Amino acid sequence: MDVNVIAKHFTDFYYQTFGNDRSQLAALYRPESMLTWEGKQILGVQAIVEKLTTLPFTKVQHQVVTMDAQPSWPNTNLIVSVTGFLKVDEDNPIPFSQVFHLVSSDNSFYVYNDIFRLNLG
Amino acid sequence: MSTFSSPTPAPGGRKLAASALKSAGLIDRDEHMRDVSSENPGGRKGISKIRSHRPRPMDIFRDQPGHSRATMLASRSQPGASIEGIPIRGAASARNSTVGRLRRNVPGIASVSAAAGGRVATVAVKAVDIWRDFVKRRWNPETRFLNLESMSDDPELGKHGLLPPGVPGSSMREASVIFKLASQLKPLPQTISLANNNIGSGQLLSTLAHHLPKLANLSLQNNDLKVWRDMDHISGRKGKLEHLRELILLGNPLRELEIKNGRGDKYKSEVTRRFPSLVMLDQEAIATIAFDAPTPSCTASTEERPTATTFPFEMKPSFITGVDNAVISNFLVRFFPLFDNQRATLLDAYHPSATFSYSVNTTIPSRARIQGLHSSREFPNQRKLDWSVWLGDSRNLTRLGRSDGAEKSVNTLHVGSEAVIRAITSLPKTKHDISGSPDKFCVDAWPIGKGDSMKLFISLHGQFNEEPSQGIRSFDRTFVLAPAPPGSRAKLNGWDVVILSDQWTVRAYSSHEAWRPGPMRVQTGERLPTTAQQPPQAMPQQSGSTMIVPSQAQLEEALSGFSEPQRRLIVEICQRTGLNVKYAVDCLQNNGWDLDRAVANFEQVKGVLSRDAFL
Repeated sequence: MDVNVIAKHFTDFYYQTFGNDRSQLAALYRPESMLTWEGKQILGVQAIVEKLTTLPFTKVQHQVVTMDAQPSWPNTNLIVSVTGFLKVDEDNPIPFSQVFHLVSSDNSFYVYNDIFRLNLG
Repeated sequence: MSTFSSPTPAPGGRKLAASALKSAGLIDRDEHMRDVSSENPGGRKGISKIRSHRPRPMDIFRDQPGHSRATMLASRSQPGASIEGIPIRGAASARNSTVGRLRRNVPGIASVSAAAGGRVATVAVKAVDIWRDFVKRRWNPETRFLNLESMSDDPELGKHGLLPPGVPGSSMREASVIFKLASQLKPLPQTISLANNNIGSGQLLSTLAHHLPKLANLSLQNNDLKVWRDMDHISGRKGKLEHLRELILLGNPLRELEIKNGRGDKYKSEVTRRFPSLVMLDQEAIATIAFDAPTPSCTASTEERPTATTFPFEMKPSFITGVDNAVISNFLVRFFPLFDNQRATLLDAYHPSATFSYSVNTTIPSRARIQGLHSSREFPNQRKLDWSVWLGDSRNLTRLGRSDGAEKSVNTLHVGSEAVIRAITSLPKTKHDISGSPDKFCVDAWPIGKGDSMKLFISLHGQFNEEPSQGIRSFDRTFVLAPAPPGSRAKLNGWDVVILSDQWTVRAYSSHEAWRPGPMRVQTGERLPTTAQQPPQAMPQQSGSTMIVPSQAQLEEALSGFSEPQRRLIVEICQRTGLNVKYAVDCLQNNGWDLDRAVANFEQVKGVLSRDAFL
């Protein structure tokens, strides 16, 4: 497995889907998935998707500036760190950082932890 | 859910905070001020009114609206108003309270104080000296413990007729003098006990957080605090003991009634809600699940209570859950000094097959650019920073498709502790000020996995100084840690945990203000006049920060009503202070468009300005 390729494919897919139709992100989460959004923990597919789909904007686009990935424990896990800009509606881009903890299961990956922060000033 | 959620929304709090500049007399009065005065119905200007206030510098403004800073300074230099390094606050006490008390209670001195103003000053100094001696007598610098218990039994105070807090007739001004004097102790007090003082009003504590914002342990045992409102004086927005680790409320009706009525849980949650950093309450540890507990919470913690440890991170959205704070604290407090000074010794801390990589984001964040952080005089070293030392090994997989991408992506992932050490020792020397301002770091941590395979996930944001330029960079860093197995190299060298993954994003400096906690604003109700004409848009903000990134056009619009020299001043103020245009204009207008006065005024009041005032 090439973690770099997986991470690249994953983030490309994730942010593209986020921009097109956030509800489709449900496929990437599991009941044990946790979204940590600005320090608040949201557990499970349904709650996460609800959170994501009710964010107060209609149009959103991520512009990824850096993305790094490492294999993690156990060996089938991945830690992916992303920084970039979040362009919301017609407003100016807002910097964000996001860390994904991906776990492989049945030859695919799902998001075990998703830590999002708008903390780059 | 119409907002980005924040774990600590404080409805209405923003409004209160927003009035800081207003309170400072820079702009007109507002609701908050009316609220304040309503605490003292019928209060006239003068002593009775001043007494009802927290004696902040801005109160001087408030009681004399429209006064310039010069007036404020003048009021400081009145006889009796400045007491050996005790500025305004002690002054008010001495002038309005202590002296009067001396008059009433010590006939011998009374005749003196009845004389000319200069003589009064002498007496005032004397009263403060008595307080100072008292504080010194009660101070143990070794343990950093200030014992303010049973003050009414103090023979010296009694001899001079001074009324300590809690004694009938005493007011918050005595308390304020004591806290001020305490704040001048070296080292700063870590622990204060106000036990057995019959304190029945939290207002007496209202200046405590101002003078000793980093206080870690506070005992209020055996006092007469009855209602939660009393606690708001040390846990409210304006006077919050954000670093409080231990609090004792035993023997106060506030606690005893709740316990007696079987509402112990509610009591606990009320306290921890007010003091998220608290670790000990009433001499018992606030329950947390230890890292090696047999029933890990996995990631599925239902508890969202932010907690803090001795590692300085207090941004409210930071949270650590399902894991003993000390584990994280111990790790970070040990890791960063070694990372800064002796990276090679970290060989023990990394697992033999640990992974390390870093990536560099050279973009200057929008707000930092607007604030001019990278060119400002306040940060002269920023210009000396050079990204080139970082770029060689930077692992950015967005560039994977490029010609050199694949090879580089392999070479820049360092696997194994020795490779990790080789990589990190070749990077520029850093200095992480982990013992400095806790605001500068933000930590989220929780356990992942279960049972034997349980790991600890830490997501850390912060800043460091880069050597040799001393310029500042911001960073994000993710660690995956495992408990160090018995007999392992890590364990033998004193590490409770061993690093499995270390992933670091180094980026251009943006102020830690960016993640200051607070309610999320979605641009409803409180739009700034400069943008009010535009149709409402949902602008998500990072919790607590005014994530408003005005465009050049908005800036132009806001400035359009001003002359060119004024515009230059406004922009200069914005850059130097980080104030937004509206507040910069207020600040300048109230200081006669004098740049230096405006900046000085800002420096005086910046501690109490709300986030609304800033870009």
